[in-house]
Amino acid sequence: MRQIILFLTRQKDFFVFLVLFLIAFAFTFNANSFQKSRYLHAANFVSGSLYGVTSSVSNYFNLNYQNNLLVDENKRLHQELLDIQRLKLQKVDVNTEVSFSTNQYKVLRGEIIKNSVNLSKNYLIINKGQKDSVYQDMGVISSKGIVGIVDKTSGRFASVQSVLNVRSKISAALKKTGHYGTLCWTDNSLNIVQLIEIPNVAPVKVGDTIVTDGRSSIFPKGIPVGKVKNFHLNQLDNSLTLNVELFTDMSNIQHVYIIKNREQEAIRELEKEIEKSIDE
Amino acid sequence: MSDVKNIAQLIILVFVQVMFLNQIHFFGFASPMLFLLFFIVFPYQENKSALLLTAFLVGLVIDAFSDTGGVYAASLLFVVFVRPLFIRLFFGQNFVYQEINLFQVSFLARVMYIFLIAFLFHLLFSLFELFDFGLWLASFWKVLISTLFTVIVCLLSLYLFSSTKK
Repeated sequence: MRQIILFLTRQKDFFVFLVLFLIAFAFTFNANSFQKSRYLHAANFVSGSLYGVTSSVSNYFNLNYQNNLLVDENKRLHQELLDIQRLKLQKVDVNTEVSFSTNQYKVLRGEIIKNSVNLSKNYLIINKGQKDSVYQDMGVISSKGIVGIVDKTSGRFASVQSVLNVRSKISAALKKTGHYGTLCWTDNSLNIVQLIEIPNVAPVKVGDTIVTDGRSSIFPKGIPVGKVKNFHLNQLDNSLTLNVELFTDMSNIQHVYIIKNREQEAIRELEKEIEKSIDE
Repeated sequence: MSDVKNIAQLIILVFVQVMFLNQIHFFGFASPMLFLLFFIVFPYQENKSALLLTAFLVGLVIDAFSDTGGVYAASLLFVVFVRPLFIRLFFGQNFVYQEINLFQVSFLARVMYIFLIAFLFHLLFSLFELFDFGLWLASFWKVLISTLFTVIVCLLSLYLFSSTKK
């Protein structure tokens, strides 16, 4: 016994290291699981508040650029509004032209208080949380295109899994032909994401626009994603892999919109029931 | 008194790291890790447990601010644990029992010592963060460039803030 105690005291540093290392490892492994989310909430409250202060200072220096973005968007929306009004005058059924009914989606605005682009699992923090009825799996877009998906929420803040995250999987399609695939990021470079599993019959050209395809209940159909930078054929399964340059500059975003799908719950339940019936 | 000074130094370093340096991304990914400087210049002590615990806590605080789970904590712990090896390598056996003075050794040894610690940190950081060996090898050049920026920033701050002490 005495020998063991002597051994332990002599190797004390090593054991301290081992225990702390294992704890840190456990945190790393649980980083995205349910148990972790409680710890993250407390941290998000502290770090979120602090980031709120610093971002309000740094935002000031970026006002010009952000204003231009918003003015551009206003211009585009006015244009679209005029188009819709023109269609109405011509007695065209607007609902067949616009891909979603006006009641299905609700748009909230938010501001980014913390952003990262240099990790392989990048997250953003926005200043909207459960108090503003922001919950998991809501889509987040900027004025130019998609940004990410809401991951965890606390009272006043929410973390958003960025498109530039190796865990992100978003379904997207070619705007022209509707061929769809999965949008992911293989940790290569800023603002370049990969659209995989596009069938090789799809007529892809460099510069084609990629949009969300509405197969998942997170993003509505037709939200712009980016344009094709280059593409290559996968020898393994004969599918195309497209390198897509995002419309949104992920390293410089401030104002975002959070999209709430009112029918998400209903779609989820339906999906669950289908899964259940398959299991049976 | 030196404890108070150390704690103040550490808080300032972590604050600067979290609020400013982690927002800097050279080439879109490389952020200099200035807080490593504290663990680079900290004097060697026979009892390493206190420093290990400090490293763990500092790591966790930065993790909480960057939403990285325990990646900073794990990599920093490992670096601090193997640091005596580097000290022995660059400052010789007898330096282990004295205070490290980075200005007592040649410029090359100074840079190499900082480089090795920074490189090990960035290597472990990307490994723990990714947990995918294939992707890890692909991001090797990212590790190298991040390391270079860390070394440059650490060296500059070292010259900037140590000039009076010398």
